Amino acid sequence: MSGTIGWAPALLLLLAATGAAVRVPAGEFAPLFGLDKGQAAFRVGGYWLDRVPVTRERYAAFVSAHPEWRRGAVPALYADGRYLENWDGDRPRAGQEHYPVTHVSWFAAAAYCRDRGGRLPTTLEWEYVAAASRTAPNASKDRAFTERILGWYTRPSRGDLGLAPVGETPNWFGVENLHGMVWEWTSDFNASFITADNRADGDTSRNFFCGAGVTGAARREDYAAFMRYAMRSSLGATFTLGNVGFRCAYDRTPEAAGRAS
Amino acid sequence: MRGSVRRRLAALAAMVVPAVAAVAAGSLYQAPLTWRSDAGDAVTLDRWKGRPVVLTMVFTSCQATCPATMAKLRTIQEKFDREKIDAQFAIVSFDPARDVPERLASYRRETGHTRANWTFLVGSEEDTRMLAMLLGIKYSRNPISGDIMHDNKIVLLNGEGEVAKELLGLDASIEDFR
Repeated sequence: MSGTIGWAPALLLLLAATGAAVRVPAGEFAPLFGLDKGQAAFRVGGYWLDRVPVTRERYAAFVSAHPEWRRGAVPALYADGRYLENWDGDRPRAGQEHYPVTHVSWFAAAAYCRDRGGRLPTTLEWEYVAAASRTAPNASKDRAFTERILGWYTRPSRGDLGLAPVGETPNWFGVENLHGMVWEWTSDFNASFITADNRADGDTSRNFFCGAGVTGAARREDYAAFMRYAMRSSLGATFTLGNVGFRCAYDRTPEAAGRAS
Repeated sequence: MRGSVRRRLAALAAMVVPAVAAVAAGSLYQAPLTWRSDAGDAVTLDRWKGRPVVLTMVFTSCQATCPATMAKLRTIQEKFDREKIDAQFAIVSFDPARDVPERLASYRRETGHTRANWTFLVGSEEDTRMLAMLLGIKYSRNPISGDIMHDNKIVLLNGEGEVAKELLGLDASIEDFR
């Protein structure tokens, strides 16, 4: 046996190679923002989610099939000037093929997922899965878990120097790299959760937003989640940043759609 | 070999296409979004190409600030009338599930927004989100109550479909909005 690879690691490698999506079972989840007074949780789940962030290799295949998404071909309406700026022309740099794709706008990410028969996950869907540690479906009150995430948030982004090929020990849902690698686009990243919070401050801000029964954050202790909502609300859909990637969600089995990203 | 030919063709296309299409880089009219009007017609925004378009997003069951946004639109229309600016007013719903064209038509009637250059529009959830992203309008729907929280923003598109001016908040001055 020595010198050969065991079946379990081989299976893991195979799964890594196929890039399968993970079925996310339905459940109740109380996101940090969005619940109105009197609401305890939202029903969420019943979708599939990419196990890992979309890699540069896979994004390159998309660009090759859809040249309108090549660097230099994308209009300013859909991406700022830094789109795919860390690539060599139409290809990721050598050795970075399995890094998560970054320097992609929300429009580019949404187009990629649509092409795969999927869509970007909603913020609620993303947070539901990202609240899981390796051992528990909701670890948002687990101090060791949230402090590990905050530790990553406090380290300055070093762009590609801070990245590595995707893949890690999966969380409770079987999903990987939700924390510690890149921030990720969600379909409704620009939901007005944060701005709603300061609406109570006075009449002036009330004129900016509309919403009847919005309360503040549900769990003040989950500062890691607060950081994510704050980060998302600071983005514009054309932004292409070195530390923002994405993964896709699917409403039916990606196998049925014929492809997972 | 074939790949390299394809790449060269793609590069050539990238050089040629913008010149042929001659669409401004920031023009909303590039986005393939489709809407239904309160009259039930299929509409794309570029039908108003060449004219300024005053564009905003509301929803008809909104009790909080949408009526104020509509009042602001009327003020803009009065100003445009005084300044002899011929503009289209397009009001897009945040709420495709409830704001079907018939509902938009009755809202239009009940609220007296009957001018011919005003159109209420509704699209798919996906196109609605896409338009909001293009305009930088934040919104979210509470999945239980269906309430929608959103920015109050009014934009002015120039004849090319580019955002020329925007008003964020109901207190924003319309003096330079033209």
